[in-house]
Amino acid sequence: MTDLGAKSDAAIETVMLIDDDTFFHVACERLMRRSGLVKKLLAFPMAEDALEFLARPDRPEIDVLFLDVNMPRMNGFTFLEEAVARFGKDFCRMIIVMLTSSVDPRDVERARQFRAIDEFANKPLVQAQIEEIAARLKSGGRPAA
Amino acid sequence: MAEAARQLPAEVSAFRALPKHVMLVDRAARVQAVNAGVERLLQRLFEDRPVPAEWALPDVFEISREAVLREMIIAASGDGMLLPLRAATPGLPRRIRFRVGAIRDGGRETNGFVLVSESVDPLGKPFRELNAELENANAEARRERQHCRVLQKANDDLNAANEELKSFAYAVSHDLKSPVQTVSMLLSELDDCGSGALDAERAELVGMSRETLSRMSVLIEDLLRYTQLIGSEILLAPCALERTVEEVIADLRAEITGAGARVQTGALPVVQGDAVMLRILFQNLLSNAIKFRRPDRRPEIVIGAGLPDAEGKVSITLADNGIGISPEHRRHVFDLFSRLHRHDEIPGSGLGLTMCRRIVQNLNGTIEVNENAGGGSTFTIRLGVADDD
Repeated sequence: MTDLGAKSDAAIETVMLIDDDTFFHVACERLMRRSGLVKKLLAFPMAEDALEFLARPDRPEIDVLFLDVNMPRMNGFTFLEEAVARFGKDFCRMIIVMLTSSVDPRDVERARQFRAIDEFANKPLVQAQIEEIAARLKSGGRPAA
Repeated sequence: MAEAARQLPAEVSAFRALPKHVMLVDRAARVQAVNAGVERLLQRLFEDRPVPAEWALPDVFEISREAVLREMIIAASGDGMLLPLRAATPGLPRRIRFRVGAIRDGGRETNGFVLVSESVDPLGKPFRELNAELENANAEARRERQHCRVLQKANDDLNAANEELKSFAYAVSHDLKSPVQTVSMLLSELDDCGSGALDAERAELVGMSRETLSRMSVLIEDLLRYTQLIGSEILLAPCALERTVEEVIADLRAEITGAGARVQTGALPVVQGDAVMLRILFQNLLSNAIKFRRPDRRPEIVIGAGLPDAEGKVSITLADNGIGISPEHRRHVFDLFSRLHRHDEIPGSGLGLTMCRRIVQNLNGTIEVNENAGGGSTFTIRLGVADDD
């Protein structure tokens, strides 16, 4: 868990990031720190490790999950299936699936089958997305379908 | 009669093909020519006895030599005539009704008669059935031809799509390379830009960018290599695997000694293959065996082969004592871009085994992976063995 030192009331409490590219972690952490809108970041390079973490009774509440799709061994969709099955669909307040490319209809189609997914974000992440997500969480939650 | 048929004018083949029973008869009721229908009728009548070369109507039909000419002249006026068969034959009717036409060559004198049976199938049910069978066969053949055309078109479409995909993938991989190279150069410039070097933080970011870019380069290179394998035309030729493997081991000498690996090679067969493809195949498998080694033990790789089976295929195995592949992942390891490890754990493009499978398929073989008894993986390749000459 990395403390990003955000003090603002508008800041998101805890963000979980699951992505196999650790350089992407570095980039995300810098972006979130600079935005001042994220207090704590939990970053996992492997989905299995994130599942293990979610099973811990003493874990903090997760506000936003940024989830990569294409990962070795366990991909994003398999992770979601497992997590929803084990912890219910509200295991975190908002689930955002990150798509590398929005042109692959198979990914979009597959993602539609998951009611738990709140939103899709195209990589790379930008400051405006963090701002928008923070504002939505403060105004009371989930976006219109 | 055969001679008589040959003396007929050129329309003889049309005559023979008439669907009814047709006979050409002279004034003495001698049959001069018959069509195929009558020939079949005669064969049924005479069964195993030889069909006489010359015959007259009274030989086959129940009518006297005295009456036949008169009857034919009367029948030619329009009534037709009903001729009973002399021999009752099972499956044949007792009587056949013929229409009769008088043949007059120029003058008023009648030279002969043409007798045409009234119905297409005077022989009744067996012929109807035969006809139905023929029509069915015809319809079947039409469907078959239609099916062939559809298949041919699908095949053409597939070939075209494959060709297009191949050139597309190749062009994309080529075009992707150039911006990657440019960014890589720009980053180098940034790295030693101006007097002061970058501060540590910036240098680290630039370093990560370059590393990511080089990962992308490897990916594009592998993609290029893979697209070159798709649908390549290959002429299979005998390849001595012992030599191929020897060369691959020499190529990978640095990697092998670097990892302290030991590679044991048994007797290997001469297979039907392509020397370049087989080299890429064994290069990939051997370097995988070294790459996916267990940190706690010295890599041992054993390459061997079994005996050819009845189908003329031989199994070549490459066994390692590495980290192995868990059963649930074995199905997927040959898939495009399938990876079981992160880039920061073990680098790779996820294309190596896909390439191996493609090569083996191109060589009409198979590849599979199983657990090695001593821990690790065993890859088994089945290829056609080359004929001894």
